[in-house]
Amino acid sequence: MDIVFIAAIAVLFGLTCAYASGCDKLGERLGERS
Amino acid sequence: MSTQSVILLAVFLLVLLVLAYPLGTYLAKVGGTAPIRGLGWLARFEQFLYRLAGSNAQTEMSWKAYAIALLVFNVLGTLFVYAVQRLQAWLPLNPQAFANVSPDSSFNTAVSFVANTNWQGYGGESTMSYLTQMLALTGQNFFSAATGIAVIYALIRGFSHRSVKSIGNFWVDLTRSTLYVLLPLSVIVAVILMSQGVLQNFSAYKEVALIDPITYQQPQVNADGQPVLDAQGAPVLETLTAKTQTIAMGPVASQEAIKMLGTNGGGFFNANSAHPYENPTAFSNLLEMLAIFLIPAALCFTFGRMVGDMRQGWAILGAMTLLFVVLTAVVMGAEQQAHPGMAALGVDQGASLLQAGGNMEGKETRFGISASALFAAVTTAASCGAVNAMHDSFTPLGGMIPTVLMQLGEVVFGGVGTGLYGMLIFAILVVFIAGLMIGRTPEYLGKKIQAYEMKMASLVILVTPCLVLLGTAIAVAVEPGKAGILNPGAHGFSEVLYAFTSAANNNGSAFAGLSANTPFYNVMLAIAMWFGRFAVIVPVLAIAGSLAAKKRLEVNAGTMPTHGPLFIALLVGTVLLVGVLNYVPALALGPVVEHLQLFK
Repeated sequence: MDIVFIAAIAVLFGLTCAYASGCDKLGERLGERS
Repeated sequence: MSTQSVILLAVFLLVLLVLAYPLGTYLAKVGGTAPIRGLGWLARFEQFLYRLAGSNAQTEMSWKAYAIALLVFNVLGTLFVYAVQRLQAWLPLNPQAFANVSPDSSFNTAVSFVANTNWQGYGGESTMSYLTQMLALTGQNFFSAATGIAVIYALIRGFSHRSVKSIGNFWVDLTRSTLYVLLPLSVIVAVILMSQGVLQNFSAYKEVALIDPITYQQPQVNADGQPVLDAQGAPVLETLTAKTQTIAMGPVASQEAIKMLGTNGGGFFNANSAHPYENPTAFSNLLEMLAIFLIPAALCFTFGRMVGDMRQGWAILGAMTLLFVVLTAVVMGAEQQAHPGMAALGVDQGASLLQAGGNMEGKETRFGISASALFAAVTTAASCGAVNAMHDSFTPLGGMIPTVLMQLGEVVFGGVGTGLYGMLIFAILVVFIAGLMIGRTPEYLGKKIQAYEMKMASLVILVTPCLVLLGTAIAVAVEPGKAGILNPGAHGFSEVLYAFTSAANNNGSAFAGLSANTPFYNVMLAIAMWFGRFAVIVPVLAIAGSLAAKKRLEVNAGTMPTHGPLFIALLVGTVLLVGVLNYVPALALGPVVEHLQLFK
């Protein structure tokens, strides 16, 4: 069972990193447009 | 509102102001990189820590590097807290020989303490060893608070830096916040709390004889833990007599201090600050309330000092104070009110020398209504979540206001760091709306507010309502969610709404009638806590990075002043409109219906 919750923590971390990457890409796209 | 309530609120705010102003100046120095005068010995220890960690304190970080460092640090903290709970049976400082915490509860608690929420599905004195309490939970109380301070430093630098890509160094901000602010303040508060009777020991629990043995009846249970029924199907009762009581011990004061100062809120004992060993006296109660608001209020002055215009800090503090006073007055008034059902029976519910009057259910007699209502407002305005009374027993209106204070996004003073950066996001929204109204490019503190800042600000504002409303909707729609509701009807809905509001806004207090220590709630609330914390921090750091890269415009005749009464009124109005409107339908189904039911 521990492996499930450790994996869940890793998934939360991964999703947040992907979210941060999305925020960054949005900034780059808006920067290019302006 | 009684005279006692008015005096208590006035004294509280006055003492807070006196303490917060100098601390704000000090925090501005901590936000720099220079050694602080008189603390050279601590600076040497600080440099030693950087060498030990192999970190270069001179390195400046972009917002992305800052965010990644923050996320890595916090995910490692989550794994550490999870591991300590799962291994505590074999670790030292476990005099009660507690078993390992269950996996789902460990997961929930690990995320909870890392996210500065401190939602507790467990009872501390019956679940956690002293080592778990001190090393895992208290440790994270420091680090989650320091993370919040680091983020607000980064955002303030976004406003004060000009045309640079960096917003500081996360490791330096984390270290300096812990070393120069949280640790010294915690030592001071812990010692004062010990003087009031808060415990600090490693003793095993004490078994003491009751002066007056208590005889009581309870349902007899079979080997499976199910009630034994008689021929008529009624539970068979057994009569028991209790002659002794177990008194829980432990290193309480050291956890209590940072629990308040870091707006963490997780109690050593299940009853939290209602427990006499966590909060023994009226003075300790006032001290704990002040400790909750101290750093959030001080950071307003830090903000003013770091952006070079103290009026900006006063304006933010003014908006927070205005919202706080009005909403606190409602809680105090609601709890002092007579219950209409009781009044109809002719019960005297007025305050007098002989009784507190009003609604005393779930409140401690040593605090009474005023100090309990103020504590409830303070702990939910800040993202603390410690309680000295049971919010589930408040009147519908008295319980709705703490819910609303959280639903505003924890920006009324708010958490350590989180409250100010939440309010500054609203300030960005205000100048954007004002800019639209007068046809000028919005700017705040000389920085142009453009599409990217607005998109990120929108994310910050919308993340928590989405988590709260989706989480609540799922919980009341599926069986595992409904199984935890002990009170059917509107109050049961209020309990679920409160739980998700508390989790997503990183508060951690609860309407305790909800049975939330189940795999369903442990996982659902952990998801709400994690994203309520980090899905907000990421766009805040993105805004900081974007603002830091911009040049600072000079003030001219067309610049909207952001330090006067008009700006404060706009800010308060925006917080109320944007914050509360998201939740009006949900509040109508819960506390509003409950309130109306009082008069049926």
